[in-house]
Amino acid sequence: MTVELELRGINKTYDGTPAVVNISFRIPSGKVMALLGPSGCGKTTTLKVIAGLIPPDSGSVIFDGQDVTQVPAASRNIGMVFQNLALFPNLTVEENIAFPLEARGGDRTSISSKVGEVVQLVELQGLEKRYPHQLSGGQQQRVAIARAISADAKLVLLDEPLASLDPALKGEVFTVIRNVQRELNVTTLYVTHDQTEAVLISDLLGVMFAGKLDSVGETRELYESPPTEESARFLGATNAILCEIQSVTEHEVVVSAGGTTINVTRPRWWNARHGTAKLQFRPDDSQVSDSTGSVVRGRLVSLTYGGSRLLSKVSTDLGEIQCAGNSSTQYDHLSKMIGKEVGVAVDPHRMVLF
Amino acid sequence: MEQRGQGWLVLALDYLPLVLFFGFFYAVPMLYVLASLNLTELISLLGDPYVLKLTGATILEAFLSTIPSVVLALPIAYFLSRYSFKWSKMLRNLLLTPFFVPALAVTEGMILMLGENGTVNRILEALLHSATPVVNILYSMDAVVVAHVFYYLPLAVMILEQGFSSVDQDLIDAAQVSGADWFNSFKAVYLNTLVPFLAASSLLVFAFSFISYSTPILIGGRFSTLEVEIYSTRTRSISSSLAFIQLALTLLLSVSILMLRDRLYVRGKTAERRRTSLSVSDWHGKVLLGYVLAITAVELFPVYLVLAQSVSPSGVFLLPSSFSLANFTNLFSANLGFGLKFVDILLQSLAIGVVVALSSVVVSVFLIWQGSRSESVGKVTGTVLSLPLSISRSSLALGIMLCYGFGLLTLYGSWTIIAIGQIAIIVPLTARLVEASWTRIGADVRQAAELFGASRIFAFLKVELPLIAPAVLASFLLAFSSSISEFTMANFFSTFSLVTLPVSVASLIDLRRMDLAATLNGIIIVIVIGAEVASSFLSDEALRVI
Repeated sequence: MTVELELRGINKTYDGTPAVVNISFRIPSGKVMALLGPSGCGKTTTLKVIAGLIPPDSGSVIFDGQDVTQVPAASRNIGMVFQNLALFPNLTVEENIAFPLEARGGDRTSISSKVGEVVQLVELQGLEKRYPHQLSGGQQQRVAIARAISADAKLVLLDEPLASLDPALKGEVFTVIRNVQRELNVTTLYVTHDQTEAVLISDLLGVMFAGKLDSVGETRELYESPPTEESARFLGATNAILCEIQSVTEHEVVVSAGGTTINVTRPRWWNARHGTAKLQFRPDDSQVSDSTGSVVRGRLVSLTYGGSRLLSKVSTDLGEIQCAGNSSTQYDHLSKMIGKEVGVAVDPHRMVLF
Repeated sequence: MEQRGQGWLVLALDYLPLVLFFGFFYAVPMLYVLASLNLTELISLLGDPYVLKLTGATILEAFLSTIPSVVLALPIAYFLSRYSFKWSKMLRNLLLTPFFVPALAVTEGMILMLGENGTVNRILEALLHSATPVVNILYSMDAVVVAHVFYYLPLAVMILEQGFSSVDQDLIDAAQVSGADWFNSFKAVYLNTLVPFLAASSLLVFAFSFISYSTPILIGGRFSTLEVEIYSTRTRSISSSLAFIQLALTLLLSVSILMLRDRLYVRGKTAERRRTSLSVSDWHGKVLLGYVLAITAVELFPVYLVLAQSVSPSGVFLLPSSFSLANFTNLFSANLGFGLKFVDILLQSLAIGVVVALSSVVVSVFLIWQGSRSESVGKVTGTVLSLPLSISRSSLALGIMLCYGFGLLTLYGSWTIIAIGQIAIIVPLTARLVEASWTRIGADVRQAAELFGASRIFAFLKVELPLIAPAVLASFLLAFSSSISEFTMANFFSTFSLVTLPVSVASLIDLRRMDLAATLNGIIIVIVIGAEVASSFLSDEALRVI
């Protein structure tokens, strides 16, 4: 039942302002793709174009090789979890879940048994007769998920499904989404601005900025080796230092930064043989160290206590670097080092070169 | 080529219901007015001293009605938006009551209050030891102005209260934290927000005073307005020329109001309402409370006089001199001016009311549903339905008479023509009520229905209609109460065998049968207020005018 989804050159403009520019990607049948990007970058517009709720100015939406761009939303058999859920407030939980089945003219017996199945899958037993306003945020979210899958949708679209939930509920609902996806093996597009959510849920990852798809690929590869500076920054690599290219081999690029030579894994797309480059890395991949393994040296400027996490700011000749560490093991020691010279150690394999 | 043709066809079908509605109720009647225009007569009328004087007097009366209504309303609106206390909601509802009472009732209350033997003169004669009436303003423009202030002050309060409530409290706090004193905070925050609301309330009071019909006809005496003159000359060709002039002027007012309304919606959105409790030590609040109580008492006085008169056949001074239901029993045997029995008039009014209410609701829901097809259709529908808000009712009545009374159809003398006229003026009100509820459904809910395979009809019956059901019921009640108290159309089309309650009231006032007029007015007030209270319970928007 599930489909392969492909977008080809989708463009959409609102009052002369481009909302989506030349978006193309493919999600193989049964896979989960996360579309990640800041608010207002065109993620929801892309989702609604796929759903058939917004017509694109140009480009095609393709299901299993068939162009469905002109097919009305009602005939695409897509399930969607809207950002604000869009539950029908006048219908009970079971009526909401049954809505897609009734709208498509199913018979009572099969609707009732399908609703029962889905209610069990999303663990809503006992709440069938309640109205949306009588449910908690997490329960409402489950109803929205249940409604999206009740009619055996070929494709499920999730628009920031966890955005309105508190941290405790996020985990609970996230597990439901993952379990449902695994159980049904349905092609899924998950839109979010949260890189942790995106990485945790997806097989494929797309990063969008200002209406454009900046990068797309398999999640792990994209996370570890983002092809653009912007994607790298959005995926957490917020530290950047300038370096000089020394030499390039098949698998490595040798650079020097602040007098230290570093062997960095060569990105597949890397061609430059000399000149200046930029090294980007995540705070979680760098540590304040006293000596060995240091990439650069600088002065420890401040410590920010964040519960189990400890953020250190080091001022170097190459700029300011943030390092993440463990509060319980490092706080006492590092608090005595504030104002003193320290080194920053980074695993070269976790550095990305641009 | 074929696709482009189909696109035009879809567009035409999208707008067809709106075009049919607008054409039937407004455009075709207006075309009949234009067709019966005598151009030479129109040109000569534009320079005619009588018409110029009439136009000038109508504008002056509307202007004089507007200024005190808005000025007196300002402190009340500020008070209601700022303070809350145990009876504040009740006080607000009491203050607004006169606007929801039929204009005829307030007008009769004016006669009972300001007449030679009215309450005001009797009090003043006693106080000043005078043997002759002290206040002598009835049957003049002054009386019309006073009646309009009574009637439209609550309207100004409603709009200005929205204005004061939409002042963002955070902005006031920010101004004060930044060191601004009260005057500078007021200038920087209040004035900026209030200006469009002041303009809207002034324009609306001006427009409604300008097209007021029952008040000048009953207590204007020799003072006349364009609206009244169109009615008085309805059997002559000059009426079409006057209607043309009046239509042009009122259309201008309607467009100005529409343009302001868009600005009000933008400003109203950012508001965060915070009301403070009225404390014993707040002398500023207590002075305002005293003012609001005094105005409320004065505002309610004409309505009280009418109700008191209906249960006191021997008259009312400050209190009813006796209490009896004789007036009500007399209604069944009395001549109400047209040789018709009270029961016949009541049944005719109720029947027309039910037909008008049902038709208005069906038309409104259909038009708004159709308007939801696309943003552009919705926008055009909203604009078209708002235009007739302050359009000249006499001119519209004249057009309907020429077109459906004696022209395209020959319905004159049938209740159907009253219903057509009333639907034309009531649908813009009910449609706004339905639209307000409709827009609250949210685009996502509608998109969800579409995405999950629902046809438009399925989504309408399963989701949209149940969600707007309270507003639909509220608009039925609003339409019913508006029809029961509607006077212009009913008066235009009434015949000896076709009379509604308000027409009968006007006839009784003409005959100086104030006791029976008050009793009929009392019945209308009970029906109208009952329906409007129920309507406001069902929909928050029921009391919104703009």
